[in-house]
Formats: sequence, C-alpha cells, structure tokens
Amino acid sequence: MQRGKRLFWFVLVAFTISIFMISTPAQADKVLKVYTNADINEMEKWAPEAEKAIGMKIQWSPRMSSNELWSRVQAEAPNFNADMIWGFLNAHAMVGTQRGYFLPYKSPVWADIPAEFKDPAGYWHGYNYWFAAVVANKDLLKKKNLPLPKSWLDLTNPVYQGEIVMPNPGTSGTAFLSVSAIMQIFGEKKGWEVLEKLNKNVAQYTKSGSAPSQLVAQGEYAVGISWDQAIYGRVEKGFPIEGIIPSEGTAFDLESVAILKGCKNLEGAQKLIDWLGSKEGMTFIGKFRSKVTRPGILGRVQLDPDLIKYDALWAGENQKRIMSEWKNRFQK
Amino acid sequence: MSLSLQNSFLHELASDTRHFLRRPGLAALTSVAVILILLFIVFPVGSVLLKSFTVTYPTVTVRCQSKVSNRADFKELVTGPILGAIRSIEGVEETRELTDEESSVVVVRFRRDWDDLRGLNDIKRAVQKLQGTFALSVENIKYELGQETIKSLATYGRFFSKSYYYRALKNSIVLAIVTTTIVVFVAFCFAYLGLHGPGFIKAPLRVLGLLPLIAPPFIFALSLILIGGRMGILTRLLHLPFNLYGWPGVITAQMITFLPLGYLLIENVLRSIGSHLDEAASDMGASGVDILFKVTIPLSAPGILKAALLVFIMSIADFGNPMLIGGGVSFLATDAYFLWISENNLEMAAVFCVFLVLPSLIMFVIHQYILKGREYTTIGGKPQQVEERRISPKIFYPMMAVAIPVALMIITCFGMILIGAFTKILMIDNSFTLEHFQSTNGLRSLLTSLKFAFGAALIAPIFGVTLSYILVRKRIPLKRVVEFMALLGFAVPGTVMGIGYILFFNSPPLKLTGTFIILIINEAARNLSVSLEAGVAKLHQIDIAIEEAAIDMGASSFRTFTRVVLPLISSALAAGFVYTFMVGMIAVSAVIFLITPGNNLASLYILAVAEEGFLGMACAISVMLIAVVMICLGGLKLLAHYTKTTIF
Repeated sequence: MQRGKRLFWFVLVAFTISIFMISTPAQADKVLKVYTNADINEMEKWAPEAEKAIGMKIQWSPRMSSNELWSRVQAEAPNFNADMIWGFLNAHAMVGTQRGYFLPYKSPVWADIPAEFKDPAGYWHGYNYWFAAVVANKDLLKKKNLPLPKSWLDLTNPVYQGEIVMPNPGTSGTAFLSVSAIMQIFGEKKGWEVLEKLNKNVAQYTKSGSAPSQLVAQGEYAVGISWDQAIYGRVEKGFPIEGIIPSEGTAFDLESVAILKGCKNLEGAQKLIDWLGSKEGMTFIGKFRSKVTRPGILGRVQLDPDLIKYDALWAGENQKRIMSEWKNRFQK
Repeated sequence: MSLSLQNSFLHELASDTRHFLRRPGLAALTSVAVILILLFIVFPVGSVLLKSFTVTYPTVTVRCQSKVSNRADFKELVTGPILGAIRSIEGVEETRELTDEESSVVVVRFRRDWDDLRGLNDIKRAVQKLQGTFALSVENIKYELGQETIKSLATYGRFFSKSYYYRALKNSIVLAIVTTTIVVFVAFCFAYLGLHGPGFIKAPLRVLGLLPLIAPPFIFALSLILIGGRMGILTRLLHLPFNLYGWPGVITAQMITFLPLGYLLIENVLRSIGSHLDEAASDMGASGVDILFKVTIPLSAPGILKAALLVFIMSIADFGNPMLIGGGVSFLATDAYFLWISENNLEMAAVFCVFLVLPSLIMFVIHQYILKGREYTTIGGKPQQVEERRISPKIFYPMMAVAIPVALMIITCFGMILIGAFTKILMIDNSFTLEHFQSTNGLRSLLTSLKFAFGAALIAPIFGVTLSYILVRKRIPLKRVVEFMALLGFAVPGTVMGIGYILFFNSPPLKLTGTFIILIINEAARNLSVSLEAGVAKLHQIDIAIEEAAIDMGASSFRTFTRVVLPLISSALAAGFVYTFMVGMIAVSAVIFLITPGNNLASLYILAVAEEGFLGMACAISVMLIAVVMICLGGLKLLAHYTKTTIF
C-alpha cells in the first residue's frame, strides 16, 4: 500500500486502541456491577460514596424504572449481567427469592435491624422505604382556578381532566405502588372504579415515577402522582410545588438489595450490603430518602406519614394479573 | 421449460461448488465469513421469528416423597386429593401428573398472565389443608417455580384480537406513508432548488439538507418539545390550545431526521439528468412547468421511488422520535421495546418484530433487486455541468414556499438545542447556566460512545470490503444468498436486531450479553451492508485486468489482494469507516436492548434524561455529542488530506 494510506490506517487503528486503553479499567481493579431503580441524580452521588466505602469501582445500570429493571432481570435469568440489584421493589424481592434468583447473605452488620426489614434467610435486605404521593403545582392550580387535591378520590374529580400526569404502572414502581394502594384501600372492585375515573383525567403516562414530579415542577401539568423524595427534593429547590399525602393513606415500599446468582464479585456485593446496613451507610442514605430502616437514624421526613398497612406480598402475588386487567381496561 | 431451468441452476451450483472446493484458502475464508454472518445476523433474526410462535406459561411443580410402597395407595391417598385441590385454584390451566416409584410429581400450569408467586402460595395453602389427611404417607413436599414454553400461534391470535396491539401496526404503516410522502416532496424541492435555483439559495439549502445527518436521530423531537411541547416556547407565547406530542410531533421530527437521506438520493438523480434534455424541451417551446412534470419528474422517477422506499424503511424502524414525542401513540418499534421492559413479554415483542420486518423486507427486496439498475441513463459517462438557466417563477415560488419553512425549522431546531443546553429551565428560569454540562455520567457515556463507534467502524469495513471482494471477484456457490444474508442486518429494523441478540446470546455457550463487545458486533453487523456496497461499487470500477496481470506475473491470490486490490479499494474502506462511525455515535434502537452497567452510550443517556424531564441536560449532552462527532470528522478529514487518502 502507498505510504500515505498506510499512515492513515495506522493512525486510525492506533487511535481506536488508545481510546480502549484509556477507558477500560485495568483488570486488577475489581468492579461491582449493579442494577438499580434509583434516580440518575441520586446515583451520581450514591455510587462515589459507596465506592469509597467498599474500595471498589461501581458500575451502575442505565436509569431503569422498577418494572423495567425486573423485566430485564427476568429476561436474563438465570444468566444475569450484573452482580447485584441495589434498589428494587420489595414485591419483586419476594418473587425473586421464590424463583431462586438470589444468593443468601447474612450480614453481621444487619443483626440489629428489625426482622421485618430483611429476609429471614438473607436473600434480601431492605435499607430504606419510600411512599407514593401526589404532587401539585400551586401556581398552575391558582391560574387554572383548581382546588388542591387532598385525597386519592379527589384525583377522580372531573375538574382535573387533562391536568394529571401519572407514571405507567407497566414500567414504574411508583405507579404500581399507587395502584396497589388504591386496591388495598378501596378493595378491588371499588378500586377499579376509582382507577377508571382517574384514567379519564390522566393526560400522560410516563415511564418512570420521578418524571411526573419534574413535569409538574416545570409547569407542564398541574397535578401528578410521584414518590416522596422526587417531590420534596424539588420543593427544596424552590419549585412552586407541594407534596400531598392522600388522606386515605398511602402505600410504602421497602427498597431492597439482593445478590444475583452467578455474582462475579461476591466480596464487593457483601461489602455493599454491609455498608448499606451500617450507621454510616444508613446516615448517608438518610440524607436522600424519607426513612431508613436502622433504628435511631433519621431520614429526611421527620413526621409520620399516613401509611397504610401495605401488603407487599399481595403486590408480588398479583402484579401480572392486575397489569393485564389494566391493559384490557385502559389501553383499548 | 421450468425443469430445464432448474437443471441449469443445479448444474451451475454443482460446478460452482466444485470450483470452490478446489481452492482451500478461498473456501476457508468464505466459510468463516458465512459463519460470522449466520451467527451475528441470520440466527438472531431467526430466533425472533421462532420466538413469535411460542407462548410461555408459569408453572409450579409439586414433589411429594412417598412413605408407602404401594403406588396405587399413594395415588389414592396423596396425588388424587392434591390434584383435586389444585384444579379448583384460580388461574390453573392444566395439571399433569408424573408419578414414579418413590415420589409423585404434579406439574401445574397457570394462565399466561398469572403470577407464579400467587400460584405457588395458593397451592401451598391448598396442600396444607390436606396435610392432616395424608400426613402419614408423605415425607416431604417440595415446590418449584418454573416456566413452560409451548409452540403456538396464540400470540398472533392475541395480536389481532386486541386493538392495542394491532393498532401499532396500523399506526406505523400510516406514519411511514405520511413521512415518506412529505420527505420525498420536501427533498425534491430542496434538491431542485439546490441545483437550479438562484445562486443565493443554492448553498444554504445544500448545507441545510445535509445538516440533520450529524445529529442524533431524536434531537429534533427534543427541540420540538422545547418549541411546541406543553411548556414549549410557541405553546406558551401564543397560548396554543394544542401541543406537538403525538402524530404532528413524530411526523415533523421524522421529516427533518430523514430529509438528508431523501435529499442525497434525489439530488444525485437530478444531477445525472442531463440539462440538454431540458434545453431541447425548452427550445421546442415547453414551459418550465411542462419540463418539470413531463421531463424531469418522469426521468427521475426510479430514483425518487428508491429514495421513497429507503425513507419508508427508516421511518418504520425509527425508535427515538416516537419514543420522545410520541405522546402515548403506539408504534411497532417502540411498543416492542415497551413490551419487553414493562412486562418481559418477549413473545409479543417478537410478533411485533415480525410485523416490523415484513414491510421493511418487502421494500428492501424491491429496492435491492427489482429497482437495481433501473435508472434511466440519459448519457453515458460523467454527470454534466448544469448550466445556469432561469427557473420559472411558477416553479420557484411554490418550491420556496415548501423549502423555506423547513429550512427555518431545521435552523430553529439546532438553535433550540443550543439555547436549551445553556438555560436553567427554559421558560421557567431563563438564566444562563453551565450546570447541565456537569454530568459525570454523561461524560463517561460519551467516552463509551467513542469507543463503541470506533470499534464498530473498524470491524464493519474490514469485514464488508473483504466480503465484497469474495462476492465480486470469486466464484462461490449461492452468491446471491450470501449477499442477501449480509444485507439483512441493514434491512431489518434495529429493534429486531436488538431483541434477536438478547434472545440468541443470553445463554451459554453463546453468552455474550452483558459484554461490551456484543454492542460493537451488533453495530457492525447492522452497518455491514454499507461497507459491502461501497466495496462492490469500487470493485466494479477497477478493471479485473490489473489483478489478472498480477496473477500472471506469479503473485499469489493473497498477495494480489493485499498488494493490488487493497490499496485500490482503500477509499471504500475509509467510506465504510466514516459512515459506521457516524451512525455509531448516534445509535439508539438496537443497542438500547444490550446496554448493561458500565456500558451506557451517550445517545441512550440523552434519551434517558430527556424522558425524566431533564431537557436541559439532554440538550447539553447532545451539544457535546454533536461537537465530538464534528471534531472527529474534522480530524479524519485532516488526516485523510495529509495522507492523501479519499474518504468521501
């Protein structure tokens, strides 16, 4: 080949190889690969802190909503592409335990955390809990002359037609939690009636449970269904929004972590579970989430929100059935 | 007649094969190529097809160990009552009994959309109730959750019985038809004005017709949201009662996204029509309008049709635009993805893929095999210099009325991205900020994208051009079949290649999902055809006599290839490289199925943050992505200039 052309290809190949060299971590550093349903802005802070604590690099999944994460895990089973799940629905943790997706780990650090927050055999550990709530843009409500919704039933009021944004329960854990809450509060028959009326008011279904908070904060919609910290975080940033815990009460989910079978970095995974259960870890997470599970450590919410006695097992046992009914009713 | 035809075909095949087998080097090289094509293109697509003919049910298996030796007794005392109790449980579809010497096994199959955890717990409760009656004869009971996959057409049945499934097919086809019509119309105006229009308009239109090429394919959806979304600038300023989410948004975004494709192809055709025909018609008294409709359009019809077919394929396969601005309207490519992520329903996703592939494949076959070589050649040899001729105002003004708004829209879209990137929250807090650029994960994903795009850009041309050499210069059996298989990766929409890969590469020994290399391979496989076609085109230009001369002088086949052919087709390699790099930087649809922790790409990160409502950050990463692409292309151009290599 002529010299010029040879040089051209030489430079190209050398450049490609050098990019690979820069960005591929050396074999020696161990990497912990995690799937997570946590928000992008949370993970950008959590991961570096955890990296310091466990002394390893953490690679986390692209942003996934809870059901998206779970679909991926199911599709991959039993050959998972991550070492562990750091943050997923407790209902899914129960299903996964029964299906044999996880490796047990009885962390000594977790010994003094109440039994209700962890699996007796150590298949999953719950490190914080969060709840579904309603978010409203005060400015927009005033402008459109709408009342502030106070309850789940208020959301079915026809005045809100086209003003509500809610996550899609097919993908979002927040939405499924809300749907389960409505089912458990009103009973299944009445629950469907409530959802039927709510659906008439919903202008858009989003993929994730955090998106409605952002959209309501930006004034795209007046009212949204979202989750606690997605709302309160934006209240603190100065958006004209308000978080409302529906007067009938709301459901909470225990955010869980579990080690996936075939985990390539067991040491790292166990260290992460230890850290999450420790005082330091819980205090750190408590700066981001409403409640953490280690007694004596405060989360961001000091008051006791009106939580129903939510049955996560029911959610794990009925998700597919409820969702296929949902599709038949609302996706005509 | 047909018999003799068949005979001659078989005869040819046999002689090709004999010829082929006598050359071990060629045979080995070809076999490797074919195996790679099968493995990374044909089998994954095939596994999607297979998947669409199955249904998976959740199952619970109950194993009881017997204490009694008598099997008949055991059946009467244990298995019988268990089966009876299980059959009345809600959601049970079928029970099967497999009893052997020591234990009794009952497999319970539940409804497809039933939760296995509930089935398991219901069975446990039912068996517990019975436990008192057969406590003596059972040692321990074990429960297992499982799945059962059955061959069935039921998924197709469900597709056609539920409007929320088949509507996606209808919508996708309507969208493709509308987009194609608009794109062809607009692209024709751009191309015509770019060639025959007055000087001041030519250059800007040429640039704007191609500008959308360098942008991630969903960037226009993003800026349209900023302009005409619920909180968009126009929506707010003019208090519009409607917004662009849904059909209008998707169609507009697609029109801009696919304009360059239409423009390039149509411009090429218009350029090749010699001006002497226009002149002749004009001399004979035809008006400008007459010439346009009776000479130009008929002559360029095959080229326009070709452009239309390609735009149709692209529109149906488009992922990013419907995803961002679709506003809940269902389309095949995105709904297949949602079926996977929201309910892990890969069977229905596979059926969606089948309907996604069919129109694309039909269009592709028409394009590749029926229209090939159908252009009307008006002269032989080089394209002619188009002479300045005054364009008739009856053509000029209507065309300007189409082209100017679109051109302005393209400029506005790029401008909006730039404004959005530096503004806190557009229309809420319009202060200047750089915070959107400070996303560590966004920067990391840019680096991953570079790695990904360069990796794919090295593999695709090397493989594609080598294959083109085998196909053009060598006698191998079933040449057309090999060629078709290689082109399949391009013809099949990205969603299908993505789902195919997760189906085919998820279990040992071919467990490749989760690795970075699978992303690169996927991208290379999808873009192989461009390098292949570039190689084929170049080889047709090179006289075979040169190679024959080398061989006559004693060079081996290998030496001829590396020393004679390779330098000559280096430009095809380079073109393949540049193309694969560019589309790699903005890839979305297939790779979205394959990214795992640590492998996130910038284009997908933009999509993710945009979906979360962080439009500013999405704009900022888009700006960085476009900048990186331009820097790389500039670098390549410089390098090529310095080394005197042709790359475009």
